[in-house]
Amino acid sequence: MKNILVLVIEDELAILNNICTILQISGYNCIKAINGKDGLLQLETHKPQLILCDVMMPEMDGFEVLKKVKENSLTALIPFCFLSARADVIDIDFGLSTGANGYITKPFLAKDLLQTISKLLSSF
Amino acid sequence: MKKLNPIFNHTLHLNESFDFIFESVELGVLIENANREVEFVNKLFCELFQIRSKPVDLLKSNTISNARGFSMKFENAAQFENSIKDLSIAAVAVRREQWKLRDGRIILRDYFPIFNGNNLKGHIWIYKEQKNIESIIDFKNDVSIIENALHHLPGEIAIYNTKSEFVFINKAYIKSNEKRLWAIGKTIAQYYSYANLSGQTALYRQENINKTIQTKEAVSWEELNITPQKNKQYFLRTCHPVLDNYGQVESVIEQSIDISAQRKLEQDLKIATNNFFTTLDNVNDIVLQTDSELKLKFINKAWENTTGNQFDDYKGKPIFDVLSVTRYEMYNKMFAILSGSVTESKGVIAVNGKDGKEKQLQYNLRPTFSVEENKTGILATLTDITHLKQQETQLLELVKREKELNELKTAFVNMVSHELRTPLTVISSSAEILDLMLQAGKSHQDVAIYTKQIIDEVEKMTAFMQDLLMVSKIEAGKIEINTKPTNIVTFVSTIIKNGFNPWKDGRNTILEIKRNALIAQIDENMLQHALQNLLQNAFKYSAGKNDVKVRIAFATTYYTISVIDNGIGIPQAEKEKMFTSFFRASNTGNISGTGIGLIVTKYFTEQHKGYVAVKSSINKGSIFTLKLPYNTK
Repeated sequence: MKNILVLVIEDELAILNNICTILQISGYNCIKAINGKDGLLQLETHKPQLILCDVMMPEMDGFEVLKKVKENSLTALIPFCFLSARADVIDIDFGLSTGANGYITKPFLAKDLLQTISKLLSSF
Repeated sequence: MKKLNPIFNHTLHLNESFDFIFESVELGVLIENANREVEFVNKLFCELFQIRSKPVDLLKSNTISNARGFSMKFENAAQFENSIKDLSIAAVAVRREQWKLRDGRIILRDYFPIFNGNNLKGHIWIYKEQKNIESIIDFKNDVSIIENALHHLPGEIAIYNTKSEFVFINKAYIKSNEKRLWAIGKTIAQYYSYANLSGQTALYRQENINKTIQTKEAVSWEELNITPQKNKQYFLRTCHPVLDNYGQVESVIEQSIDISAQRKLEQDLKIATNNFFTTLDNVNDIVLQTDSELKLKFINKAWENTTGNQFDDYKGKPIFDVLSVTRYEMYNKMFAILSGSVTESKGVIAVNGKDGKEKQLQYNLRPTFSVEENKTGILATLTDITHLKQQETQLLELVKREKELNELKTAFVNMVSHELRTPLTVISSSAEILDLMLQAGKSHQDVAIYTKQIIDEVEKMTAFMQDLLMVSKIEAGKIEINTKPTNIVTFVSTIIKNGFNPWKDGRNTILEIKRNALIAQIDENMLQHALQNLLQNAFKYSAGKNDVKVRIAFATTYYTISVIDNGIGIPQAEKEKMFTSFFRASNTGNISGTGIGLIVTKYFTEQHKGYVAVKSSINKGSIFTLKLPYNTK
C-alpha cells in the first residue's frame, strides 16, 4: 500500500525482528541487517527510502555506518535515523551532530517509532 | 713674647741666626734700622700680606716708601699708614692692636722700638692673624682662659710634668675642688691612694705616662668602668708628649674620650651580625653568596642539612666544585647576572640529599654588591621543593584516580542503562505486537514467539541483576565456598553444551583434554559462573573469527582450564585493570559488556585457592587460564 522500503540495522536479533514486524503491520516494507557491514551490503542491492540504525554494534558502529552512507552519493540523501539505548541528552545531541536526521531512544513505543518515521519521510 | 727677648741684647747686625728664630715662629716679623730700612723680614710676613717678593729682596728697601702700598691692604689704609709713622716716631711699644684687612682677615700687631741705651736703633713689627681662640690666648698669654676651657671640656684632661706629677687636672678628671687642688704636684698613684680608688687603674695609667715620657710618642689604651648602676663605660685614654724646642719632653697631656656609644654600636653590630647568621642557619632555604669570580663566600647550614656536605670544606672554593661542575644552565645564568645583562634568574637543579635521595632545589639568583671588592657577586637562595614535587605527583595521581573513578561511574551507568534498555526494548515492542496480533484475532501459535521473547528478556534482566548483586556481595566478602568432588571434564563439557556449542553466531567450542581426567573439589555454581564468563567473552570479542578452544590439562598438584580465542586481544597497559569492577578495555568499542564477568571469575577462582592467568596479543587473541588445586582446603 505505502510501498515504502525501510532498512533496519540492529545487532540484537529480537529487536530487529520486532521493529520489522511493527513496520510491516503498519504497511512498510522492511530489509533486515544484523550488523553495520550487512547494512552497507544491503544498500548495494536495495534502494530504501529510510534507514533505521542501532548505534552500539560490534565491528562497525552506527556512526561509521552513517559516515559511509553519507559518503556514497547514491545513498547520501536517504533519511537516516539512529536507534539507541544511549538515551542521555548529550548522546542524542552528539548523534544528531554527526549528520543523522533522527534519533530514537530505546525502549520506544510503536507509535513514537512510526510517528518519527512518517515525519522523516514527509520532510524529504 | 719671650722669644723676642734676645733681640734686645743684640746690635742691629742681624745675621742668619735671626732667620732661624723667626722662621720657626708663627709670626710675621719685620725689623727696621734707625734709617727706616728693612733689616729683616721673614717669610711668614710675606705670606701673611700676600707679598710676592721674597724676603731677601725686601732687605734694605725703604719702609717709608713701602708703607703707602702696604697700607692699601688694610680697610682703613690712611689710618694704618699714619699709625706706622706715629709709632716709629713715638717709639713706644704697643701690643695687640687689631687691624682689619680688606679681605676680611683680622691682624694683630705688636710694635717694639729697639734702643741701645738712649739711642733709638730700630723698630720691630710683629703681625699675626687672629685665627682662633688659641691664637688669641697665646697672644694674650692668658692661661686662665685655657684653664677655664679645659675645665669645661667633657673629657678628662690632665697635664703631668716629667716626674709624672699633676700640673693640671680638669674638673671632669677630679670633680672635687679640694681633691683636685690636693692632687697638683702629686703622682696619680698618690692621688688614687688618697682618694681610696683602685690602685690597679692608677698603676696602669702611671705606666703609660712613663712610657710616653720615655718613648716621646703618644700612648693609647682603653679603660672599662662599671657605673654604680652596673652600666659599662668604655674610655679611650691617650697620653700625648709635649716637646720643647730641643725635642725633649716638657710635659704629658692625658686625655680621655668616652667611647661607650661607639662600643655599644660595635657590640650591637656584632649581636646583629650573629643574629643574622644564626637566623640564616635556621632557615630551611639554602642561602649562598659568591664573589665576582664565583668563589664561595658564604653558605648557610641548610646546605649541610640538605646535602650532608660541610660548609668549611667549601669556603673560598669555586662554586663549580661545591655544586658539582655539571650545572651549566645555572652557571650561565650566574654569568649573565655578573655581566649585568639580567638582574634576577630562576631555575631548578637536582642534588644528592643527605639521605641518599635526590633533592629538587629551586634556585633564585640575584646580584650582590661587595663594597670591599667593589664588584658584583651572586646571592643565591635554593629552596628544597622535593616534597612539593612529590605532593604535586600525588595530587596528580589523585586527580587521575578521581577522573578514572568518574569515567568508571559514567561507564557503569551507561552499561547498566544499555543492559536494561535493550531487553526492555524487546519486551515493550513484543508486548505491543502481541496486543496488535490479539486484536487481529491471531492464534496462540502466532503470538507464542512474542510471549517467549518477553520471558527470555525478563530472564536476561534477572540474570544481569543477579550479576550486579553478586559483585556487590563479592565486594562485601559475603559469598562462601561450598565444594564437593566433581569430574572436571564432565563438568566443563556440560557447560560448553549449554549455550556454547554452538554459540549464537554458529561458531563452536572445541574441547581439548591433556592427560587423564581427574576428580577435583569444586563449588560447581562458582566455577560454572567463572567459566561461562570466560566463554562468553571469548565469543563476544572474537566475532567473525575462528571457533573457541577450551583446553583442560591435569598436572600432579593442580589442573588448568584455558579458554582460547582469536579475538581482538587486550592492550598490554590495561591487563592489570582487567579485574577491576566495571572496567572495559579501550578496544572493546561498541561490543556490549558489563565489566563484571572477569571480577566474578577471578573471585571464584581465588575462592578455590587458584588464580587466573592472562596471555594476550592485540588482534591475535587471548588465553585465559584458570589454575586450580585439586583440593581447595
